[in-house]
Amino acid sequence: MTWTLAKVALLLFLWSAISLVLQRAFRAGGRLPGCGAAFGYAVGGAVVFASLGARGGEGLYAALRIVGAGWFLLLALWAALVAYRGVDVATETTSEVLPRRRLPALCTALLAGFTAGALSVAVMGRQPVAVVALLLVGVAVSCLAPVTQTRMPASLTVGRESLPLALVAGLLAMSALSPRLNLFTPLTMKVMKFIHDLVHQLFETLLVPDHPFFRVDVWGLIGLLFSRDVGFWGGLVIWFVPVALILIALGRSRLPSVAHIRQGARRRSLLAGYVRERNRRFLVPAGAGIVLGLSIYTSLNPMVEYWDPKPLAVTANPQGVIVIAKKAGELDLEDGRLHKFTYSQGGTNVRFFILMRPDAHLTAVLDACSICQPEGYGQGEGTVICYYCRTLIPIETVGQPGGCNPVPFPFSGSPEAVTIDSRTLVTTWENTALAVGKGPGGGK
Amino acid sequence: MTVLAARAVTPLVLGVFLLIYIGIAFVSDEALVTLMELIRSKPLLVLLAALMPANLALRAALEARDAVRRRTLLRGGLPVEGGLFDAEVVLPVAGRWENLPDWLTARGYRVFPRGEQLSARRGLPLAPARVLFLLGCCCLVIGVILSLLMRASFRTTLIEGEPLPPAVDERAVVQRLILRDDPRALVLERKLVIQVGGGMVGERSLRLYPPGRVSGYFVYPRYLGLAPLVAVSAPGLAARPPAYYTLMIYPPGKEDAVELAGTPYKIWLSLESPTTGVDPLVSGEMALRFRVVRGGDVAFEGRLPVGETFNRDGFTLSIPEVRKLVVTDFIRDNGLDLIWLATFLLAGAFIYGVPVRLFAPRAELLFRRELGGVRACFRAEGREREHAGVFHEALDLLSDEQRQ
Repeated sequence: MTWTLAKVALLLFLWSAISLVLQRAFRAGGRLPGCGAAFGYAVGGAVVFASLGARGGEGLYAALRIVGAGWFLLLALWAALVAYRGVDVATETTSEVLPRRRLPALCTALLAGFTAGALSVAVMGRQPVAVVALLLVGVAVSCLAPVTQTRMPASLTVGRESLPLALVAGLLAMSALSPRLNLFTPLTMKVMKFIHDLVHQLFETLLVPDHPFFRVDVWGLIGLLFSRDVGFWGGLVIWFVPVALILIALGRSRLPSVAHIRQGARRRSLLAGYVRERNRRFLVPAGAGIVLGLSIYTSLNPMVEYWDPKPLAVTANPQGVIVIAKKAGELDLEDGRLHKFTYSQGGTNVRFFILMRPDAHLTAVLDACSICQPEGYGQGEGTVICYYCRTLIPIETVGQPGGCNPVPFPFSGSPEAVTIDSRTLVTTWENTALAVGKGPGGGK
Repeated sequence: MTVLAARAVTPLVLGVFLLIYIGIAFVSDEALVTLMELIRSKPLLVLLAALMPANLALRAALEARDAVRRRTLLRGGLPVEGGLFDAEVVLPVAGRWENLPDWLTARGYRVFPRGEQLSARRGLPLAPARVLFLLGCCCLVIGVILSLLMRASFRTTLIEGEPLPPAVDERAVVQRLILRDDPRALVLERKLVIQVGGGMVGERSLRLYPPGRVSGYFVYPRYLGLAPLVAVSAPGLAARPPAYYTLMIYPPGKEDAVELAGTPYKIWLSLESPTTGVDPLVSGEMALRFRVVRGGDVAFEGRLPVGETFNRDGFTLSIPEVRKLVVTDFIRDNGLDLIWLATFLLAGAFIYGVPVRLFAPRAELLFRRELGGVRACFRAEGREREHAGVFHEALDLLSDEQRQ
């Protein structure tokens, strides 16, 4: 309940910020932006709510992730264009540029509202009461935005260069509230993979000797490029690139020429006025940067409780077979929750779990994958999460090998029990989970 | 030509490849390798990539040309052209500047009065760094493209006493593999030298880095191993001569097996970790740990120093000699030299350009008497506002002088 209220509060806060930014940017449009945003918010939320009810599967969330990634890519392109062309502080403010063009204001508001509504409902999931309350309050907030924004200081300007940044930052922060919509974590994984591959290819191209020839401390430094942290820091850099580009463009914006003015005081006064206006334009990108930072925080600390039971210890019979009853006391392997077990042989401790998938197939997998450090998995809504890399794996795919999926191993099932060959289990564990960590940096 | 020299060309092309990479990353875990294969297989992508070195080379030429023109102009050799300065102003004044030179000198400028023109400058130009940077990037991109398209390699095992591969020079022989430790080294504390002799190669010592070159191939040692001479005899086993077996049993502790074909025996060998702390391949003092497996069961195991014999229950195992080996890639790559050259050019640009930009950026002023008055220009490669302030005050001074 606490998480639900916190999510609703954050979603509404972000939506009101987006509404205010839209209204301030297009204030010459009167009530049009606010009403357009409200309509878009309601429609987007309703569409997703209907889809969740009808299907509720991974496809919808995948589509929303792709939309979010598309927005971020467009923002990056926009920021690159702004940085390349520069910003003319003296002449460019959105409200001056667009008073005669209401259609862009309406389209922007509708699109932003639709996306925000869709994301808000997707974050809440199948909670009808919370969703309805959220949509009603959200519509009210954006309808009131034209009035609310008049209370804001007139000096707070939303420039054309900053409007897309503010909108997309708000939308990304909304999506970060759900692990299934979170874009930052997958970005860090892709960055980590890219840097790993790039360094490997670079070493191969430049014929760099292998690690036994290096000093241990130097190889340790190189190993940092193969660690999980490099993905985080690389992802962080990419995440803030649009903000940085727009701040740089504003900082480097050309001040008007005052060479024709021969009075020094008048020159300085004119320049100071332009510098003040330029400094005011920093506020929105800086605020967007803070919102993006918030989205990273919620990505790394999701408001989700993961089901992660204490593993039960199991043993093998004299034939080397592990037999686990499907139902025994409180244990029910077919209840749709993951059940963890440990098995020890020699000095090797194997962790694995058994899970009944939504398609009514039982699956047995290691509590580790073949590419990450074996920190194990937890179960969330419709997914399991790898604790090391924070990748979400749809429950429907658990049991399939590859990527960050937990490693499957052969087992057989009868109506009463699951049987596992202990030698196969230990060998699989030693060849995958224990084999991770041979490279520099350890694992992925 | 103007389009090809535009500043946006290289970032645009890089952006296209980045978008392709992002698209591949959505559907594949091996995005970079896939992208490299795609570039190799699509001439259109190669042409697109080739736009970058063309653009960079053109821009380097244009930057050098502009730097030379500015220098000539400041010496009075050319009329003022658009695009060479950050700002130009024409003052309707007669053009007396008695006090201006001293005023500028007091502000750290070097002043050059030349007849109808007065120029002033301070700091160092960034143009050499920019040209080095552009040329370095050009070499890097060409090197990468050539490496992608034309790299050919094969892998083989070089064993002491054995000839080089036929593709290189089969009459040359690997005389010795020397491994030694260098604790004072900054990066590579273990050095490997491959001594070869004979054939067309002659007497050569091929080092680890920079890699040696033989018959147009770069020699890239990868993994060390050992080739022990193994002599085995056992009851019921036909006499077999000693034979060398290539085993990847380095570093110490790593196991590899000798399969005796046609027998139930398999011998697992590993190099024993040294008690002295010195690597056995460096010191030459080796002992091998062995495990003889017969039909799935361990028959014997123990320790066998090189040159000694193990004998039990009629089973005899001896290792009279061990040769060192290294799995080596022979690589033909026409782009590698350009990539190394690019490294030096970029390092030079960085070493010169960053301190200059931070501590002594170039600032230039030009005042030239013309029919209408005085044409004043300024340009700054850093600290623009400070320099612009000096420029404006210089114009004020010129106007004041007129009134006086």
